[in-house]
Amino acid sequence: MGVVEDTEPPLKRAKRLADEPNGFSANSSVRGSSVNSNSLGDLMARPLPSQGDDETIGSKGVIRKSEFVRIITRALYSLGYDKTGAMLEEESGISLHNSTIKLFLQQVKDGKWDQSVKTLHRIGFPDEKAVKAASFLLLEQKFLEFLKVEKIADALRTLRNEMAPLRINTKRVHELASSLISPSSFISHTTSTPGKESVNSRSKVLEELQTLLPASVIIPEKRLECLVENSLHIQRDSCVFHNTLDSDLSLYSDHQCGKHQIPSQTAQILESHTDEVWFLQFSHNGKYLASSSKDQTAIIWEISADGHISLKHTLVGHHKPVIAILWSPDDRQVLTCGAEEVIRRWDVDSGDCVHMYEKGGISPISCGWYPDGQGIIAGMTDRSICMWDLDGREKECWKGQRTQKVSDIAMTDDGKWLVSVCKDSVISLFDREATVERLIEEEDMITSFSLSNDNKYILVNLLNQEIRLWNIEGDPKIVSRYKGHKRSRFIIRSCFGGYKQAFIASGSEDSQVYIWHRSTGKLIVELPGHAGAVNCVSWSPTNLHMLASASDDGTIRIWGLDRINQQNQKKKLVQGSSSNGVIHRCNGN
Amino acid sequence: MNSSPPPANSANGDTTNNGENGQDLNLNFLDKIRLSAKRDAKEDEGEELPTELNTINSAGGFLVVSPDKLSVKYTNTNLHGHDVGVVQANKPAPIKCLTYYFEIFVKDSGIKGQIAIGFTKESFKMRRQPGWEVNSCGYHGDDGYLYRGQGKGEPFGPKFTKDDAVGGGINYASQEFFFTKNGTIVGKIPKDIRGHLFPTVAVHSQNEEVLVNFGKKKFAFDIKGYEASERNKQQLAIEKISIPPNIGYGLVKTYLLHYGYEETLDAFNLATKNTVPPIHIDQENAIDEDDSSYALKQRKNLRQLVRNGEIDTALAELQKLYPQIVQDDKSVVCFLLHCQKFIELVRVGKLEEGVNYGRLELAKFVGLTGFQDIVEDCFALLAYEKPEESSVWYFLEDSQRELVADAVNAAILSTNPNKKDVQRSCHLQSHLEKLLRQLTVCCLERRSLNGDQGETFRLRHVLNNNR
Repeated sequence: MGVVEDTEPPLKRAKRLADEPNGFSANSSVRGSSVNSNSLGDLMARPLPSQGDDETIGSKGVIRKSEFVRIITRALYSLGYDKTGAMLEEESGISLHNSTIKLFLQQVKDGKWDQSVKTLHRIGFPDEKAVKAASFLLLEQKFLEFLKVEKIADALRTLRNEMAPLRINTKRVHELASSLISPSSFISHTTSTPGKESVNSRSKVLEELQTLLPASVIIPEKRLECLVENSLHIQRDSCVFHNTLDSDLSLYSDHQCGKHQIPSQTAQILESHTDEVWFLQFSHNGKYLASSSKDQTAIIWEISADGHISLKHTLVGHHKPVIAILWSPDDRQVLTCGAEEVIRRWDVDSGDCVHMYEKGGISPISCGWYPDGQGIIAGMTDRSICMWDLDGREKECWKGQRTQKVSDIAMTDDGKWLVSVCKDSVISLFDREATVERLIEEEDMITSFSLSNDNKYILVNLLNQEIRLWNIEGDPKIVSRYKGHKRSRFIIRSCFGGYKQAFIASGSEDSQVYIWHRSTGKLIVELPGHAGAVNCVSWSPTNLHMLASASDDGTIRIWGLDRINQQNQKKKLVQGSSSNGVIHRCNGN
Repeated sequence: MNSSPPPANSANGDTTNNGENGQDLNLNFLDKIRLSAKRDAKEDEGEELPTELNTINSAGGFLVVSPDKLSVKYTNTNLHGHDVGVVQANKPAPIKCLTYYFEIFVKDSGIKGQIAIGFTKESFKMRRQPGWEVNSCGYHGDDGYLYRGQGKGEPFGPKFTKDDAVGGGINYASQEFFFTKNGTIVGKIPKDIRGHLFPTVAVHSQNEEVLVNFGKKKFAFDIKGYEASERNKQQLAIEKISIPPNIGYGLVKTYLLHYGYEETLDAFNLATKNTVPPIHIDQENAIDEDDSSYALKQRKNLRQLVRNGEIDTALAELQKLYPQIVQDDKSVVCFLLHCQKFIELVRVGKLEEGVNYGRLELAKFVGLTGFQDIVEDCFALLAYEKPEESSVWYFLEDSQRELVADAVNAAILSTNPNKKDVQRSCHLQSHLEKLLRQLTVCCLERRSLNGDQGETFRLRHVLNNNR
């Protein structure tokens, strides 16, 4: 050999010198991870020294090859491809489990409990708790099998001399003692085939062992599926434009929604109001849009199947600007609030005013529905909060010390929380069941708020041109902030919207609509088009790609998907596929 | 004579029937076993005590807490009434005790000596002197005033300044706050704040500094002596109550009769013959014989059998003398006797025989509400090589045998043909036991009125203290 080496060119000699440390490291690693000399011998006999545990694949160098192969092997066995799994183990030289683990698993399958416990201790896990828990599991199975064949003395010995001294799971030990007296209530498979039952119970033991012992020793089942699923979820969550169903996810390429999934194009302009439009809201079922205006009217709009919107009813009767219009839970009625005038309830089908709510000499500033649709709440000019039933009978009236100008009010869907702006910069969350109050104290004046569908979040509009998202489960805490829009003199409202309400949309005094990604706070798009301040926006709860905005220019704009860009996006996708193909060929090489 | 009529009246007022008698048996004897199981747990429940100052919620801008969290110093120049350096203890004062007490030592009274000691609620505004806000009280050093919930205080005690040791305490029995200076109580006020209270100190002028003692060091005030004195007051109040001499005699006698301690009763009667007037003895005998001496000899014999672990013989005797008691094989008495038989087999290591006996006689109680938890704990004896060292050790105690014997005794008394049905429930417990139960309930009620604060009555504690 020495002579042969001497005759080689210098370049080849350098290569071999580079190989040697890797081989040495591999041997050292193997020696450290395995006690069985056979395994060491087998590995030393391998002709390919590069297949050590330290070898990595992937461009970032963080994937250990042996781990990768073992996970694939596990997936093959789980899918039922036993021969393919065995072939991969043989061809790669990487075993799914080492020989001691194999022996252990086989002993468990064969029901050789005493031997499996000894093997378990021989493996030498550092976590003593896990070893105890696993031993308990094995001995429990031993006990139950003795019990099934009525070997009472053996069962007692196992329980007293082997299981109880472990001093864990005392409750289960007591249950097993009871099973000695009343076996039928503990073994419900007495009538099944003994062999089948043993196999099934032993499979269960194996499953439980996987959760107790380190994952690197016994590869968890479905590990590969878990990794891939996590990857898909991460792609979806990090997709700032995600506004479509999860069924669109695919393994063939990384998930990436384009901006074309966000409504960004004016699809329709509604011009029936004669003055500033102050408020609008989609119905819960997405079939109607309600709007209210400074022109003292409110309008019910109807949305056809193809998304076209037409006027259904004009609600006439108020003598003051209508500052809000709110849908009942069943979408059959709406409430309108005249500015410091009265509250009216209207029938959506007929467009008729059904009832009027007022209190002598005191006017409402804000209003809302009971979540069951059987009552109305209102914030009044005398700083009180009134509650009526539908027939106008006053149910409650609060005038707390904190209550000031109640400029916005709502109740959560579950009827538990009464939410109101009780001071310039404070929102009160009043728990109607426990009669306790929580406060959200902001740094600046609050102009309006809105609640998420799941009652977990509240969106607060501030005078200082910032929108804040608060988590109101438990103690309120701020989650995110949204900036960029303009707000200096008027009430500007914002809303949740899109797929799983993943977006925040808001009007702005600069006549644009602003849309942010909720969790990241990133501004996604600004929509110009209106000629005046945009006072309010509403996102259709059923059509994820439809957004409505109300403006001082007297119009309502319906925003939809950008069709032209959509076509361009398709072309880019085609090019992208080609690019992926090229990359794939490179990998093949 | 005085001891007899009230129970009879109480019995007449009851609307019980045979079914409810059975339920009473359930509640009485099965719950006693459960109480044995929980004894350890109850005695272990303890409250966390304040040990140091809370640096998380204190007014950080105005004071500095030492690294050991036991001293506090005001660092700034105070300007108004909302820049007080306030700090609470890390835990609220414990409430399940007779008193709580802590002390401060004034190391430096600073420029104005505006130091305060007191108690506050968790939601106290940590920039105001204790006592200046509702639900708080404070004893202030610069004027000696006590403040409790308002900005205007009231004269209370002497002023305190540098090198003074000042303490604040709560007396849960009298529901009062008290404050001390250099080891002497300076005053006390009613404690009108409910709920958990945090020991609190405040400093409010430049360079004021105090050291806090939550009990690691010796207090200047003798809190132990104070507690003993308070207990002595209670004891004196108790001892002032006079009881006719035959009450005690009657209680002990009915207890011995009730539980079938015939020989002890004879000895007791002999010993008390000289001290109790004869006429009372005759009257007592005339009444009690009908009530409590029923089947005394048989009850004594059966108690002895159960206490000796001879359950088979006891069962045979019951079958012969009182077959109606063991007729229902799912009754409480049968359950307890079969459990005891199982326990005796485990005690002597006859495990397989125990398993067979359990399957024969106890398996039918598995799944029955009221029996399930006890029968499973009983079976758990099988799981331990040394069951006397396990968590179900109490089954092997003599007290378990006594309990079973008590149940048999009560069952026999319930067969007394001279008593009407409505009166049988009176014999589940002796008069002495009823008295103790009523005493415990009264103590619990008093504590409940005090907002669940203070000690409760514990017989074991009283006996161990030899009070």
